[in-house]
Formats: sequence, C-alpha cells, structure tokens
Amino acid sequence: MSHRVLRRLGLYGALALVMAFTLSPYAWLVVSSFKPSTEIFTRTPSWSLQGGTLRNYIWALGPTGGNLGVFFWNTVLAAGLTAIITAVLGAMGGYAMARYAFPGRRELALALLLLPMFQGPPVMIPFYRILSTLKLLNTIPGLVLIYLSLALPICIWLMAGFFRSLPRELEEAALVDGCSPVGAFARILLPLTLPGLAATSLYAFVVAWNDYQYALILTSSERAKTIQLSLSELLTFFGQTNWGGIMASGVLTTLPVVLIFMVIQRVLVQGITAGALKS
Amino acid sequence: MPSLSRLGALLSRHRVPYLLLLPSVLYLVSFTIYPILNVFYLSVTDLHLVKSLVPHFIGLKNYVELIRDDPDFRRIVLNTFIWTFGSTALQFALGLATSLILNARLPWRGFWRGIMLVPWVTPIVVVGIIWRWIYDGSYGLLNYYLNTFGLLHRYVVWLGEDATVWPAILLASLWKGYPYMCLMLLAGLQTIPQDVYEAADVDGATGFRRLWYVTLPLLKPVVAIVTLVALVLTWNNFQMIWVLTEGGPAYATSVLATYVYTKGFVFFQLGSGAAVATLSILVILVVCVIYARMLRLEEREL
Repeated sequence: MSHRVLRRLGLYGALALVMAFTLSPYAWLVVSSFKPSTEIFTRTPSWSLQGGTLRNYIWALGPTGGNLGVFFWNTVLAAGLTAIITAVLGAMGGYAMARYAFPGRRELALALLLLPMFQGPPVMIPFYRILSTLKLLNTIPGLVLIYLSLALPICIWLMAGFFRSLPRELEEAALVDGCSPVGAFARILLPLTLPGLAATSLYAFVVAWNDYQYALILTSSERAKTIQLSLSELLTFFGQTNWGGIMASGVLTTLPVVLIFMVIQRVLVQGITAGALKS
Repeated sequence: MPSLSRLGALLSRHRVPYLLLLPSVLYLVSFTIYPILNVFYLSVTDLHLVKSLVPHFIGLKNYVELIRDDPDFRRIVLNTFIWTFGSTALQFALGLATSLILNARLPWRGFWRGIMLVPWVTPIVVVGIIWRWIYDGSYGLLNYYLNTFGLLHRYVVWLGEDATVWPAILLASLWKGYPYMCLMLLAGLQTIPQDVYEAADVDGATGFRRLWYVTLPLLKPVVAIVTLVALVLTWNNFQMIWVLTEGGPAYATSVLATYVYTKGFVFFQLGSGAAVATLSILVILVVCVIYARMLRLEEREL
C-alpha cells in the first residue's frame, strides 16, 4: 500500500516538475510584460505584480512605439488567405486521396510526407528568386504563395484522414438517392468533416502566423512585413532599452495562436497523431 | 500513338481524383520540387544579390571555396551535427519521460496534455525573446537564481560565451521542441493494448523493467519515425538559433541552416549560399531514403 502511495507521489512530483519547466518561462514573459522599466532592469527580479502597469502594452500598439497594429493586420491577411486556400485545396485533395484509387496515389502520399522535410534554408534562395521574378517580393500575395508550401502538404494529409474516418456508405446512399458525386461531396460529406476542415485551416493559419524565416527574406517594409518580423526588429532596436515593451509585444503576438490552438487542439491532435501513426 | 491514347484513357478513367488534385500538384511541383532542383543549379553559378543578378555557370567554384578555403566551414559542419543530435536526443528524452507521465492515470489529464503543448505553438521569435531575457547577462533570471542559491558567484552572459552558448541554445530548443515529440510518443503509447501490460503484470514485470522490456520494444516503430523526422527538422532549423544568437558569437553557433542565410542574405552571395544548401540537402536526402524504406517496411508488416 505505502509502495503505491509512494509511486503516486513520485508521479505527481514528476508532473509538477515538467509543468514548471513548461510554464515558468511563459509566466515570466507575462509577468515581465506588466512591469515598469525600473522593475525590469533590476538585479533582484521579482514575480510580484505589485506596481503593474499597462504602459508596455500601450507602447507595443502605439504609433510611436511598436506600432504592431499595421503588422498585425498584414499577418491576419497573409495567414487568413493561406488558411482559406489551404482549406479549399486540402478538402479537394484530401477527398481524392481518401476515396479514390488511382495510379500515382502512393507516390503522392509519400511526397506529401517527405516534402515538408525541405522547409526553410534549403529553399530560401529559390523562393526569393521566384518571388523576385514574379514581382511579388514584399507583397502579401507573395507571402501567401510561399506559406502554402508550409501548410498544404500536411493539410491534404490531415483532410484525407478526416474523410477516411467517415463511412463510405454515406456517399453510396446519397448516390443511390440520386445525388450527383459533387452533390454527395458537398451536401453529405463536407458538413460532416466541418470540424476537421476548420481545425485544418486554422492550423494553416497558425503555421503562417508563426512564420519568421520567410518573412525575413521576402518582406522589407510596412506594406507586407509580418508581426513576427517586426517583433524581431523591436528586439534588435529596443533590446537594450525597453524589454517591457518587447515582452508586451511578445504576449500580443502569441495570444491569437494560443487562443486558436485551445479551440482546435482536440481535433487537430487527433488528426496529426492518427496521420503520423498510419504512416 | 497507342501509348498516348492509353494515357488519355487512364486520365479520363481517373479524371475525378486527378482534377481534384491538379491544383495542389501543380503548386507542389512549382513551389516545393522546383525550388529543390533550382538550388542545385544555382549552387554552380555566381548569383549575387548585388553584383550578379543573372546567374553565370562557374562550375564547382563555390564548393571548392567552401570546403578548401573557408576557415569556418569545418566548424559549421561539426556544429550542425552537435546541434542536430544534441537537440533531438534531449527532446526525445524529455518527450518520452513526459509521455509516460501523461499516459498514466492522472486527474485533469487532458488539461495537462493541452498545457504541455503550449511551447510548441509559441511563435519562434517569442521563444527567442523569452529565453534571451532569462539568459540576460545583467538582469536575467538564470543568473539571479544561480547566484542566490550560491551555485554561481558571477554573472554569465550565457549566449555570449563559447562555453555556455550551446547548452543555452539546447535548453531553449528542448523547451520548444519536446512537446511535439511527447505528443507523438503519447499517441504511440495509446496504441499499446492494455492486456499486454496485464500480461506483464502477471509475469511480475513492473516499473522500470516493464518500461524496458515491454513498452519500449512495442514503441520502437513510432520512436524510429519520430526521431528521424525530428533529426531532419532540426538539421534544417534556422529559426531557433537565429532568434537566440544569429549564429554567433562569430561562427560559434552557426550551422549549415544559418550559414545558408548568412551567405545568401547577409553577404549577398546567393550562389555560395545555394552551395551550402545543396550540401545540406544531400544529407537530408539520405535520411529521406531511410525514412521511405522504413515506411514501406511498416506497410508490409501491417
């Protein structure tokens, strides 16, 4: 009996340690974001929020400070368009992968798994050249064109999984009842996969929202700069003087993705792990 | 042309899936496959962001310059291996431990699983901000606590000294990356049927022995795939290092992934950067072949 109690205690202790490691850096970011500068640049940092202030947040959003509003909007546009296009192409492609047998299907499935391995630096220079040829450098459409490469393969894969989890009899019944294939897809299947589709496209949104490396090479001015890039520039310019403002900007940048993630977490995790294990 | 008409028949028989996939495939060919081939080509040209906007073929000059003349290149390759294997090993160790904890019967288990994933969705720039502040040489939390508890008697610029910069990066990368590893391993653990454990219980295998002789062998396929993917993604991970140190001090924390950027967009030598990228891709390709083989093996077993 006491052996079991001991094991329980050990388990809770381990859980507490992992959660402390996971959450304390975050908590420190949030606490610091409410501190006045005198409380930040101190040799005796404290977790207390006494004397907390919203000044850092005002600085982060204000035109004389971080001016995040503009970049926020750019990023909403780029990530939103990426999410919408991914939803459409992902639903089409996922349905084909889930329901049809055709030559090239296995190869395509393998490619969808392997292509995400080549993200980032390996393709940075070609991406820069492609957008420069298309005259799309430093534009939102240019960013969307590149962000699709981050989102589309995994989203087709996810959608295929969601479609596969629905019984085939559903469409067959609809076809027997005189529905066209397109009608069966649009009226029967799509509504049923709506939670999956929503999770998939929001995941695409998060992926695009979180991008830093492509915005770094592909955008250069307020016209298209994303929130991540402007945040990294704040760090460069104000890293010695206004950590509080940078922390507040960091919290504002993170808030949307954490909120979205909380909403889609269950469906998404199910989809991702099912896909990974089936592979 | 019989073969052409056969192709036509094939296309029309499968026209629904082909039409559904056409836009995606066209996109993927132009924005994922073409860039990989294009970077091979650019690596044998003198493309330069300022001096030579049109690429001219120059043979293997970029490669020779990198391998023979670049005094930092050897260190960068070595760093890449330290970074890739160090980061993956740490993430795996904590990911596995955490997945075992979160697979046990716990109150609020779903809640803890959700919380665990938060670093994974945190934007990389914010991860950089969080850890740079913790590591700060004058006001950082790490210095404060180590000094308060008497473990250290000076303030260390963690990201600025050769001896501490890699451990500091690896710890931040562990924080950011372990949740994904944990998520996958957790999914793997859930596929192990409960009666296997019951049988192990009957045989008297408990605790560590059960983990070693029952759980881990059954988890092996998932472990292999997850670590392989993590190795490649870490190999390519430019962002984690860049937001913390930009590859510095000097080239102390530069890896191939950051060097592509440094060459191409700091020094404007796109051709040379493409050569670094190509060398990096060749290594990934080898890993991909192994990965693809494993996937096929899996299929046969199923």
